[in-house]
Amino acid sequence: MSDTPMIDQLETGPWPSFIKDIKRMAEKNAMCKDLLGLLEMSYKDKKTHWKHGGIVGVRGYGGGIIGRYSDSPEKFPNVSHFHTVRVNQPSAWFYNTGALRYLCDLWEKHGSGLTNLHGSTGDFVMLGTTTDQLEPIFTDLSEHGWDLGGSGSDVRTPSCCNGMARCEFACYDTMNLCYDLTNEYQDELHRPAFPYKFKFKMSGCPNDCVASIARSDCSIIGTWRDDIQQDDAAVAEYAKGGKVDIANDVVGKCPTGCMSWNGSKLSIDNKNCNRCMHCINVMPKALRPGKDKGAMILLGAKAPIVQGALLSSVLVPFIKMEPPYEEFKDLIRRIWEFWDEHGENRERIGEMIVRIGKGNFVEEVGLEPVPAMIKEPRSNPYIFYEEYFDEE
Amino acid sequence: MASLEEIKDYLFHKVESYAGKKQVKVPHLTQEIIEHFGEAECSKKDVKEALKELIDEEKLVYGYYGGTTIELPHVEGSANA
Amino acid sequence: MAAPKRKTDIGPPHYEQMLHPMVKKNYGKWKYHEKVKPGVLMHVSETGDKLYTVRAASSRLVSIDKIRDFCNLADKYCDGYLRFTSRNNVEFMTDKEANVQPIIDELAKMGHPVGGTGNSISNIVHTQGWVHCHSSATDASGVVKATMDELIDYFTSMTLPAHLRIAVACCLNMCGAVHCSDIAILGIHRTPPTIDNDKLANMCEIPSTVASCPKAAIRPKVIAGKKTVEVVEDLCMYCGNCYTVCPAMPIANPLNDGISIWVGGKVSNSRTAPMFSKLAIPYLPNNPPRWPEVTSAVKNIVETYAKDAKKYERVGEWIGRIGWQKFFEKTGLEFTKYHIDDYTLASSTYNSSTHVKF
Repeated sequence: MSDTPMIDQLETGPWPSFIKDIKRMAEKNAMCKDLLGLLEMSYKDKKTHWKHGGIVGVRGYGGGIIGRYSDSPEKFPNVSHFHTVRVNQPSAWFYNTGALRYLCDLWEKHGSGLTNLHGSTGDFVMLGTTTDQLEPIFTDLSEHGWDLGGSGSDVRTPSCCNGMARCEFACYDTMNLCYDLTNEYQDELHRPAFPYKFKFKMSGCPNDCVASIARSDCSIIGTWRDDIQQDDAAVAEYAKGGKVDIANDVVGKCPTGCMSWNGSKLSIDNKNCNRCMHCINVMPKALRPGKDKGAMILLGAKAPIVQGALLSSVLVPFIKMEPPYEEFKDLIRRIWEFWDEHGENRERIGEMIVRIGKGNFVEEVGLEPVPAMIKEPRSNPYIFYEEYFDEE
Repeated sequence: MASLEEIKDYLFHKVESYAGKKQVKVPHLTQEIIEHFGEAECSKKDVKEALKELIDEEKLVYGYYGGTTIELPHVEGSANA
Repeated sequence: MAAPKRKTDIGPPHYEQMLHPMVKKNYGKWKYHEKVKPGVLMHVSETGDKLYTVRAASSRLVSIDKIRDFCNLADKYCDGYLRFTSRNNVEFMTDKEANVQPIIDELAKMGHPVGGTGNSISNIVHTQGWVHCHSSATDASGVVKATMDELIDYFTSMTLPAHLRIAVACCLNMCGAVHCSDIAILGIHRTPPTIDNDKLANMCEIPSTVASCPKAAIRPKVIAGKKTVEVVEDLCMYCGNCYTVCPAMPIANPLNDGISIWVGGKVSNSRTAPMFSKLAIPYLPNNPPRWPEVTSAVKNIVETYAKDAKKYERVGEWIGRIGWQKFFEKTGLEFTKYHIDDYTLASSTYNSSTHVKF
């Protein structure tokens, strides 16, 4: 009879089994063996057996390591300490096998051999080691050109979509910006000094494959200002043989009604297009983003705790995004300075903006209010006028 | 101008005074240090440099309590508690 | 004493060394792509070059031996390059069309189905759960495995009206930010932390425990001469942050923890603006190892949507068209008082019109 009858049931079925993977490591790693036991206990008890509690890290850094301890060290001594190491991933999670094999060998030597590819923020997550292994891991990593990612009140490891490397929709070079910002903000990433965490995510187009608008304090989403590039011959090819029902599936789904189709010619009123991507997604061979490309900067997304979930909202409707990205970095500097001074303890930037008012925030970081920043103007009359006349 | 050593000393004693009483975060500390010396004497950058040295020397360490804190070094936490 | 210097602040390796030569050559030059079949993409460059991508399921929690298997495959067919997606899939890219089928075949042998492209259910993004998190209300990897075993046919085909994105988070902290998913599976605690008054003072610093609560619901207290804390239960939102700081205040409660289901969120701007997911089912029990109540609830929503939605309608767009009344009717889900918002700005969710369907 197996020691782990419940989790064993997750070895069957068509989807890849994480239990099979842990078992494979358990043959040669005592930590993995105890992890199976601890997990079985959770499945039986219907509760977690982990604690946070301890503060661990590598010397000089405040981020990158998450302390984790089990609540049953006597039963499962090999996972009594089971810390996480966040290794900063390469842009858009591209790897050569040499690089991956290096990380595997390192992790075989110093930890459980279990990983997350990848963590929610984007890091290559090494799952489970002890405190004494942390400095050796870090020294080895840094000698081989790798560094730790973020945790705590710092710039979290930026992440991006595969952009120009493998997508025709990319309106700016997401992978380059991700690499550039990660390096620019090394100090802010490793030495937490903010009121709370700050995440950057870069998507090359409004399809937003890295969910930046929902998951990052600063969402940088590619867009364009001029007309959609249209290849009429390719449109005709889609229409021919009913490959695409252009009237219903393209024009009929256009949210702005800016397109029309007379059976042979597709016309787009580009001035009324809101760049939603639907028509381009349906006919990528025929329609492409325009040539005057750049990005939109949106701020403030976060998960529910504390004040409720937020999506990012528009701060800068269009900015050219080319190295060395000075205009963008200058804006970020002003945003951080203001947040540093006015952000309350554990307050994300989105929550601060709601608290002080987006209009005030926009003014404080030196931008002009524009209609693109809102869905609609206020409907309540509670305006705090800052200027009014006094009788002489 | 306050010297780096002076800022480090004051910063260290400030953290020491909070030990066991308050989880102190960097923005709060920075404001206190600058207030103490005066803006003409001590900038945000100076505090940052002082803190980096204290951390590198392991006189202070980072902590985490739903956000990052600065603390005196301590023995490893609750593993077997 | 300062210890010897070692390299810090070097950042990640440059991405260029991680790119297949074909990717590097055509960087920024891609012209269009086609979905050749489920799980296989073909990108065509201005230069005429073609790049084939095979996308396969992965469990996110992977061992180094599994990664080495992936590397072997990439060495054999992809010149030693591979990548992972934002939804934890693994992708193998090759400039040789003839390599596509052998990659698929070998992945099948390894137990990794190919799919997740186009109008499919792609991999479920998720959090740590009982595998590695102290505040989890449920497991994540196990829920994902059980759910995807049920929904596998939607991963390996492209027959849905539109993309369908599922996410799992094991508590309200939502490391996986599931709040904008077509279907979100969210672990929930429903009771405040329990307090071990005997041990608390020994295990925890009282000031930091008090300070850990984002709602200021924790207050110092003395019980029978012992220093401890109390929780103002009305204020508690079950985030577990106090347990992070103080192990004498466990938030987990096997009797009451469970799972809630949320629907209709999206992050893409395609057609409609990004939306939050909204409550569909307030509570389902934790029933490991296969969570049958959860998987059948998800399957019911998926199947109702697949039958009723129009082409290109995401779940949220479908509900937007038919209305929430019809959503509850068609799915047969129970509507309760918990579905009616009572948090900040709740009034904006009330029906202030006569638009009602009978």
